[in-house]
Amino acid sequence: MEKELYPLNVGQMLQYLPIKETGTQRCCNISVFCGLQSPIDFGLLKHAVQDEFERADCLRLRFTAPDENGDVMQYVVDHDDRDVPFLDLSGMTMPEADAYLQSKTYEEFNAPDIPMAEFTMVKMPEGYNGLYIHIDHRLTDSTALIVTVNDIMEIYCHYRFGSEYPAPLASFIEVLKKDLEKANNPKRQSKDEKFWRDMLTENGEPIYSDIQGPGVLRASRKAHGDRTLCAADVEKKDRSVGIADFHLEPEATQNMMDFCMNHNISMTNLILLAMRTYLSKQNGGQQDIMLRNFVSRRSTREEWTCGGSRTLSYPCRTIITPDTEFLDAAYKVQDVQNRVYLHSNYDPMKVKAMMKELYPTPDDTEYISMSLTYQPMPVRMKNEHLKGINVRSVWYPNGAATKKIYLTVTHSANDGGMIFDFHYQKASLTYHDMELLYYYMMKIIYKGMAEPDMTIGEIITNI
Amino acid sequence: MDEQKKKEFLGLVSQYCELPENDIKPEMRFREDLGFNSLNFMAFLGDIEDTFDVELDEQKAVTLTTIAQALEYLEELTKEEE
Repeated sequence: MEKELYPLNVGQMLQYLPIKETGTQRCCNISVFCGLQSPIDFGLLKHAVQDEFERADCLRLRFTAPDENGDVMQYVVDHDDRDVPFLDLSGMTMPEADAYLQSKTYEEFNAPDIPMAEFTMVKMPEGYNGLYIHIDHRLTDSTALIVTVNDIMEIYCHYRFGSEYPAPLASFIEVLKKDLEKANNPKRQSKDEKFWRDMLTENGEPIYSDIQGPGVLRASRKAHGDRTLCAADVEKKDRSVGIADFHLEPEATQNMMDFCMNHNISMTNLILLAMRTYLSKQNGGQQDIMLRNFVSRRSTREEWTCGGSRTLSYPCRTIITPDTEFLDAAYKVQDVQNRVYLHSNYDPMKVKAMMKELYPTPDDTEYISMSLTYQPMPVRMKNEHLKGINVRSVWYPNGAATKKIYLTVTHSANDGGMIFDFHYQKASLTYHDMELLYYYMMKIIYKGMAEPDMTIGEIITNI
Repeated sequence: MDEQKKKEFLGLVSQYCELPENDIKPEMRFREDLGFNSLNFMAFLGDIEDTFDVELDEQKAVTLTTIAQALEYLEELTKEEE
């Protein structure tokens, strides 16, 4: 029977673009270990993983060879009966085991029509047992991967303890069809296009800001011989990635969550405000700051469980004067983000192209130095048979930092705290830069939460 | 508002929350009772525009708190369209 081919959705296209540009699939890999500090029946776990391949059509996606424009199509195979291998790393130290799994992260899925996901059962040191998942980003994003892991553990609990078998997952292909229909709705398209054009023109050209201060933009201006240039060069040669993880204690996390709840502000917007305020501080009080926010577009119940990549990123530009009170500044960020959300069906690549058309900056220059993903859903074993067991989840970087600073904020699986995970380009930044960034972000948030009527200017002066 | 449109509206709400459409009551609040966050509430507003072919005033739409308020606003808009 002839296979049915579908184009990539916008989120998948965003992941595919770097493959097209660099010619290597590695930059599109996601690799994660997730396990419990508890004995596991690996026979049943294998059964659960095999069930998951049947339940989740996104795991059975394949891609065609690129056409003459470098574009690929996707299709789903009916079954994937591969074995689920077992790996015993328990004789190693934890850093050795992590280094081994890290090295597997660089393995590429570099051919058409092949499986794009590998699940391996792993016995780790310190009594942790679980799964190492190595997968192409077009099949999943971080939210979908957490749904997958939680679903596998629910199936495992069904086989192991007799708990209820989880409800079916939504079909990726069925949701994809709806996405494509929405993307082709001309009325919606023209509304979204108008919104983005207005958004990008109402305040003129944006201006770059950097935690290393205005010297970064000055250097680009000098290099291009243009004293009015507003965008800075991006690092293209050395994209080696540094990682800095900071753990925010449960009590401090709870204070932030309470503040958000009491003032009807989302955590994303509070963190964006802290990031932009630090950039403002480092750039002589610059009021016009642009960040990039990554959003996983999962709103309906079907979208939550269909898998695939639905992560889109859009610029978040705010102009905040120093006399704006902290709380009002948070509402300003939120207002911009709300409007962006309403128009987040629009292809982010078209937004990028529109920006380039309006402000023809040199190739490989950017207005944005920092990006954020806030991931509200922890890897948490909700099944009562697994409650109280320590969970270890490790995301292994694929080795390529395409953004200067990419902050992922997640909730810890074990203690209710938050993890601030900075990936940064080592070519220009150090671990100490990330320590300072995190330290000042926390100072800004805590000062603002303690005195919400303090102005942004006062906060910058006081911290 | 005619029953068909109301049913369609509640069907749409139901896609975003855990409740079947028959259990969604007019006094229910989007955020507190139905679990909407800012992202899915904005996506929901976009779906309303596409489904009912209406143009929402964004400033007004974000202040809608309950199902009853949203239905009332939708009725106002569909009357304007007619």
